[in-house]
Amino acid sequence: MKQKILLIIGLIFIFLAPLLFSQEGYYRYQFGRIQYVQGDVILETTEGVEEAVEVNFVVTEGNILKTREGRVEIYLGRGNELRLDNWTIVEFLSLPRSETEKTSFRISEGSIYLRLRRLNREKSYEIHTADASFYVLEEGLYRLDVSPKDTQIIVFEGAGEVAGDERSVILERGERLLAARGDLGSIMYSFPEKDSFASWNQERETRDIKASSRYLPAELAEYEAELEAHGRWVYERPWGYVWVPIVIYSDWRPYYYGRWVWYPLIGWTWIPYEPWGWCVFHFGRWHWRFGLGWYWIPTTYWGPAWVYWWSAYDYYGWVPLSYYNRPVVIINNIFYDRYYDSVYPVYSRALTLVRKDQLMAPKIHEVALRENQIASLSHLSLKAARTEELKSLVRADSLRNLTVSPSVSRVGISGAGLTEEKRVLKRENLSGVNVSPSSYLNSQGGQSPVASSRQKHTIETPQLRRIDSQDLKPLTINRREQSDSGERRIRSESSSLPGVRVNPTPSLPQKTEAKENSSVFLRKKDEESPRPSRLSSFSSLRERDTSLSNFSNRTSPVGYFRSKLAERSTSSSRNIRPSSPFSENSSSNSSNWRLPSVTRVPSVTSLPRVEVPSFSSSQRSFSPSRISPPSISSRSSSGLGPSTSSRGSIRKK
Amino acid sequence: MIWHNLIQVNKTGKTKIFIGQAVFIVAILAFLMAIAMSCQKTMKTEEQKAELTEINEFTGKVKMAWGKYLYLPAAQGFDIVVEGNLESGSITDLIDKEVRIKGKMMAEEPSLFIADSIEIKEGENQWRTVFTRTSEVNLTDFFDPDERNNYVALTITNINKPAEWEGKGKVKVYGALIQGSGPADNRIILYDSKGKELAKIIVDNISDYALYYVKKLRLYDKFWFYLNVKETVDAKTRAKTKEIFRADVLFAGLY
Repeated sequence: MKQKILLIIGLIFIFLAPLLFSQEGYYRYQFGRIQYVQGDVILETTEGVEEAVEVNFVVTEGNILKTREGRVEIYLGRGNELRLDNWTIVEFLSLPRSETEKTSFRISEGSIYLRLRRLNREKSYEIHTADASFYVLEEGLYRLDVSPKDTQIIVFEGAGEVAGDERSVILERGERLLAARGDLGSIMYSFPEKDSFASWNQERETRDIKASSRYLPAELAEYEAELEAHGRWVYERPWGYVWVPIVIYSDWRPYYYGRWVWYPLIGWTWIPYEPWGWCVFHFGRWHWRFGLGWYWIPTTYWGPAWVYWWSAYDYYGWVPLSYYNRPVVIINNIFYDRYYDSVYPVYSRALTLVRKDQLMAPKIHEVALRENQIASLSHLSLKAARTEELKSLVRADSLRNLTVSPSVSRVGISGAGLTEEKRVLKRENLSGVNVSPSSYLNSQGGQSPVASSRQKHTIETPQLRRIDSQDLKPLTINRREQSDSGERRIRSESSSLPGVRVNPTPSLPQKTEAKENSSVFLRKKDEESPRPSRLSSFSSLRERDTSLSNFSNRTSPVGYFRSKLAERSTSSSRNIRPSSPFSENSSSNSSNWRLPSVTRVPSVTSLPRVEVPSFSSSQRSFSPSRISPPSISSRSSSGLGPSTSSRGSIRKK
Repeated sequence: MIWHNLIQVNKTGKTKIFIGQAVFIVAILAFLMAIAMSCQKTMKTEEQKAELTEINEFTGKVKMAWGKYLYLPAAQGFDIVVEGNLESGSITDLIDKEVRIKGKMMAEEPSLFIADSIEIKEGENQWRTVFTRTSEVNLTDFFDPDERNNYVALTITNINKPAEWEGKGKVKVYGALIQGSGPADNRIILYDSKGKELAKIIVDNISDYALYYVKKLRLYDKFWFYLNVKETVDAKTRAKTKEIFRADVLFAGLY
C-alpha cells in the first residue's frame, strides 16, 4: 500500500513538473510589427489613445492604423505583410492567438496591399469593407481600394473569395472585381493603371532578403537575415550559438535605446530604436561576458519585454532577465545571471534607471541616469516594483491637445525563478477579451491545420456568421478630424537615433503604364464552397448613405478623386488610379481642397524584408548543441506543422 | 538500507525492485538538484561596489525654472535646487540659457542636486557667474516621493456627497489645473469617466514645487494633485459652481 502511494506521488510529480516549470507565452503571430514607416502614420489603441507610429511598434488586436500622408508596412509573421497607402484606415479586428485562429482587418478607406507568402490554412486572412468581405484562399498578392462608394479587389497572385450580400465570387490571379453596398459586380480581367502605391509596393516586394535558420530556431528564421546584418554569431558554451550585436555606443545595453509604450492587452511594451530590435527584445534573453559584451540567446517565446522592474524613491529601474529568468547583474566586469536578493545594486551596469515620471519619455536613453549620476544614488535601495505601482502611471495619459499612450510592462515583479517568468507573461485583459495563453493554444493536438486546395475542400470551413453591426465597434471615418490631428502635437517625435535608424529621403513615385494581364481565362467559380458572409461595418444602408454624403464634403483629395473616378467609370472597363500624394497636392488647388498642414518632415525608416523559407523537419532543430531549458522545450509548440511546408509556393495557374 | 528496501530477494531467489519507492526517490533527488543548481550562482553584492565618482557639475540648457527649482535635461533624473537669489534677475530668466551648475547631491533627498554656483555662457569659453549659494538649503515646500503612499486617492461621484471628501485630510485627485488671473482663482477640475467635468476644487495655495512640476511636465494637462483638504463649500454654491471644497496643493505629478 505504502509503495503504491509513493509510486502515485512520484508519478504525479514527474508528470506535473513540466507544467509547473513551463512558461506561458503569447502566440508569436499575435502581434504585428511595424517594419516600415514613411510619413505620418497614427496608431490608435483600444483605449482610444493615439501614437505616432515608429518602426518596431507593436500592432495588437483592436488597434487602428491611420495613415495621413504616409505609408506603412506591417509584418504579420510567416513572411506575410500588409502595406497601407496614404489616407488609409485599417482596423485589426483579430490577430491569431493560436495556429487555428484567423487574421482579419477592416478597411474603412484607402488602399492596401496584402502579400501572403505562407498561409497555414484557407481563409485564415479576412478583409472586410463596407462593400464586401474578402477571404484569402491562397498565398499571393492582393490589393483592395476602398472608396466611399465602392471597393475594388484585385488579385495579382493567388486566389480569394469575395462575399457580398447575396452571393460570393472566387477571384483568381489576374482578376478584379468591384463591390458596392454588398452588390458584387462582374469579374474584370484588366488591371488598373499603375499608380504610386503600386510602385512603392513593387519596391518593397523587391527587397527580399533570403533567410535561413542556421543559427536561429525555425520559428525565428525570418529574423536571421537582419540579425546577420547587424551582428555576428558566436558559439558560446553552454548556449550554443548566440548573437552579438554590432553597437557603436559605449553605454549600449539591452532595453536602453528605445521607449516604453502601454498596450492595454499586453502592458508596458518595449519599442526598440534599433531596427533589428524586434526579435532580440521580444524573444530570447540577454547575457554578458567580459571580452564578448552583451550577447543574445534565442528562445521562441514572445514577450512585451523580458525585463525585471525595480523601484526606489522616485525612480524606476529595469534590467534584462537572464536565461534563468532572474535579473542579471554586472559589477566590476563580473556577470551574475541569477540574482536573488530583494535589493538590487544600483551600480550594476545592466541597470537602466529613470525618474518615474520619465518612464514614458520617447527616448529613454536621454532621460536615463548616467553611471556617475547613479553613483550618487548608491544608497538607494532598489526593490522589486509592484505591478499596481507600474500601472498607476497609465492614468497619466493625457498630453495637452493630444491623447498619448504611456507605457508598464506587466513584467514580472516579485517572486523567484520561473514563477517570475509566468508573471512576465501574465496578461491582464483590460478589454474583456478572453485571452488564452498561447502555450495552451499552441499545443492543440500538436499539429497545425493542414491547408488544402480550394477545389478539394478537405477542410470543413465553417459557415461564417454574418456579424451584425452592433457586434462591431463603428469606426469613425472623419477625414477632417484626421486632418486636424496633423496639427496636433505628437509626443513621439520623428527624430531618429543617429547611426541606428535609416532615414532616406522618400523618392518621388513614378507612374508607369499598367500591365494588362490578358492571359487570364474565364472560369466558373461561384458557390463552390460554403459561402462566407459579408461583414458589414455599418449599421444600416441609410447610415452608410449618410456617411457617404458627409464624406463627399470632406477635404480628402484621395476620397474625392476616387469617388469622381468611380462615377465616371463603368463596370466593364474601369481603371482606378489612386493618385500619389504629390499629384493630390496639385489637384487640390483646382478643387478648393486644403491639405492638412503637416509640419513634420516625412521620415522613412525601413527594415529589410525577409523571405521566409518553408520549413522542413530538418530545419527545425537549429542547434543540436544548444541547451534548451526544460521549461521552454517542454512547451515548444510545433507552431508550423510539417504539412505547412507544402504551402510554401504559390499555386501556378 | 534504502537499497535493501528497493531491491529485495524473494523466496524464490528472484530480485524484486520496488518501482514506487525508486520513482519517488529519483523525483526527490531531481528536485533537490534543481534547487542546488539555481542557488549555485547567488552572489554577494555587498562586498563589491563599482568605483564611480559622484558627479558635481552639470552643463546644459535650462528647460524650466520656477520657485527655487531648475530643470536641466542634462541632469537626467535630478531637480536642481537654487537656494537664494540670483545676482541679477529671477530664476525664470535662466530658461533657455546655457548654464554650468556646480554643486552636490543631497543625500537625504536623492532626486535633488543642490546648486553651489551657476554660470551663464556668454561666449566661447566665457562664463559669467550669476549665483553663488550663501545660505543653507531650506526645503519647506519639497514633497518627498515616499510621502505619496500616505495619500489616498479621492473618488468623487457626486458633488452633493460631502462625505466623500470631508475628514479625509491628505488625499490625491486626478484632474487638470486651471490657473486664473490671480492665485485665488486657481481651480482643479475633476472629470468623470466620460471626460465630462464633474467637480472643481478651489486651490487656496499651491506650492512652488507643485507649480514647478506642472510647468516641467508641460506636455501633460492632467496630473495627480496631492492635497490637504480644507473646508467644504456650502451646498448652494456647490450646486451653482460645482466647487466642492478648498484645498492646498502640495504636489502635482504623473503618479
